[in-house]
Amino acid sequence: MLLNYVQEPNSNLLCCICRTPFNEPVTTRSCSHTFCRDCITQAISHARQCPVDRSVLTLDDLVPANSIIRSLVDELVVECIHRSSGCTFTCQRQLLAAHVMDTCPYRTTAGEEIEDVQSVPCSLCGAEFALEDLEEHTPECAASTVNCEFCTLELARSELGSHTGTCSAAIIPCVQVSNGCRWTGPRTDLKSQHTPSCPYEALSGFFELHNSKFARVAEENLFLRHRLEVLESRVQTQQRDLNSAKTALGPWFRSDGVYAHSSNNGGLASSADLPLDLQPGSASTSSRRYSQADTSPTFEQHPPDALAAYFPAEADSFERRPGWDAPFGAGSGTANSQNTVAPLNLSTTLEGSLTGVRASVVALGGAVDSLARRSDIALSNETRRLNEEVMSLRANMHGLRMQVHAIMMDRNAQVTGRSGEGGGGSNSVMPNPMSPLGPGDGAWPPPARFFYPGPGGKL
Amino acid sequence: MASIASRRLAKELSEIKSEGCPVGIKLVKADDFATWWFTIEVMGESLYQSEVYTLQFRFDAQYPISSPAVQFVVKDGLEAPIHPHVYSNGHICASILGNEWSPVLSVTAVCVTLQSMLASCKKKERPVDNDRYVRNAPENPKKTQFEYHDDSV
Repeated sequence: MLLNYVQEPNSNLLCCICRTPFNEPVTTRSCSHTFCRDCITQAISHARQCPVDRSVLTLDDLVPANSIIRSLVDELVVECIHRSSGCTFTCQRQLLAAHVMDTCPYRTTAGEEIEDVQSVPCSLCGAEFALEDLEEHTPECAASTVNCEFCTLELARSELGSHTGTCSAAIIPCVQVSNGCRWTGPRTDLKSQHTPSCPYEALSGFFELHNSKFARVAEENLFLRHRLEVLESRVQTQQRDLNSAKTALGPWFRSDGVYAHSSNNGGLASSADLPLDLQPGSASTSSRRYSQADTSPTFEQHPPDALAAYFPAEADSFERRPGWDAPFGAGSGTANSQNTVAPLNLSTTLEGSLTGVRASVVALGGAVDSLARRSDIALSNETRRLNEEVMSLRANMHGLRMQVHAIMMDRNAQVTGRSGEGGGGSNSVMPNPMSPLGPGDGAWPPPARFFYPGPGGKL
Repeated sequence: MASIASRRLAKELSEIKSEGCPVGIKLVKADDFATWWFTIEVMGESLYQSEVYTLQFRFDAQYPISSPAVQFVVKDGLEAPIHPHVYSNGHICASILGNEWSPVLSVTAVCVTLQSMLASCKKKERPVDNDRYVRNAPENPKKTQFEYHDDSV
């Protein structure tokens, strides 16, 4: 690779064989002379001696030169090897290979040593071309002369474009061609002949106005379309949200029409729509208890026809608790005999229904509470009564045993009296000293004492 | 390789033109990188005082690895100096032009060496085997296998 150095290199860095800066410098081990590797290799192959001092030298005596020398020559600034092609790039010598391989605009794929293609100057414009490129260049050379197709004026190709724009003989369309004028003719005739008679030219003011208006409308249309797109996307988002809400609400979701329908008809059909598990099963006990406990102060506030279904004429029908707006009650009135408790009312909002359900749960809790209390009281009452009965039974048992005992004593006395003194008065004799009641003289309790008068009849 | 030779010669030529030749040596023509002509004159007191000879250098593609073919021009009235190492056909028996050539040497170095060779001559005479050599000599002096025996001159 032959390189041109931008500055004259220091003479100490020149190989004395090729007289150029060292390329891959090597130093002889025996005599410490430095040469390019290629130069000294060739010189040794020619004569096995050092070119400088003629001492015997072989290839084995060559070692790479000191790195200082190598850095000095590698950092010399060189021109690109395609300088003759026009590349003015210069860089450190060690970087040139990368430039030639990758970035040089004049690089060739065939290799670096390619000889310059012989260039031929164009006879018209003077630019130089390779021989085969010249044939392509000649018909399109900007300096070649061509004739204007309208006025037959001869002029350079590069000026043809500007000339056509001004040539008075050029065939051009009317200026109103965009509005529909079909006239075409030489440029000179346009101003002088056509324009005064062009019907479109007469309307040019209108066209102008129309065009500007149209442009404005188009612009507005574009803007509106854009807005529409934005809104559509927003609507889609909301629809998606709505759908997810609908899914989340499940059976609670009703469209407006259904709400109106159920409320107008007194909610007759709504319970049928509910899934079974959502229908309140049996709240009859608490409802009854509330109906006994509370009067209904809110009752009068509602129109009678809307609430008539809730309150049939029967005396024991349940009444709404104050504060329960409508959670219970739909469909309850008509089926009073079988279903005294209303199912959940779906004609209110979900929130209202939830409030109602919560109130119901609270009420149920209270009902269960009081029921428990009441059954507690009943149980203790019953227990006490049972206790008393057991006591009275025990007393009766005792009385009976005493009677049996007296009878046994009588029989004993009879047996012994028959065998003994006979007829000794049954009252005065105590045959059984172990009797807890002692002697039988007047110790017998009155029989009436052993009969519990009250609850005994209910046993 | 050919371009290395021409490059090296271009460098030598530009040096000659910029710095001039050594005293007594003048460049006659160097139209290409194949043949150069110089005139050589021995300066100071010598047997060849005020005699001017013409040297011809011919380079091959292996220059400077291989030596140039150097001889005195002996035609068109030009003659070779009468010297024990210079044949009448202009061939020069000098070791530096043969096996002692070194790539380090240059055209001007060869000229100066030949100049001093002439200056150190003590007796103007042809080589002893001049006639025999000239009869059989090849055109190119490089093809001759000289025997270098006289180190004194």
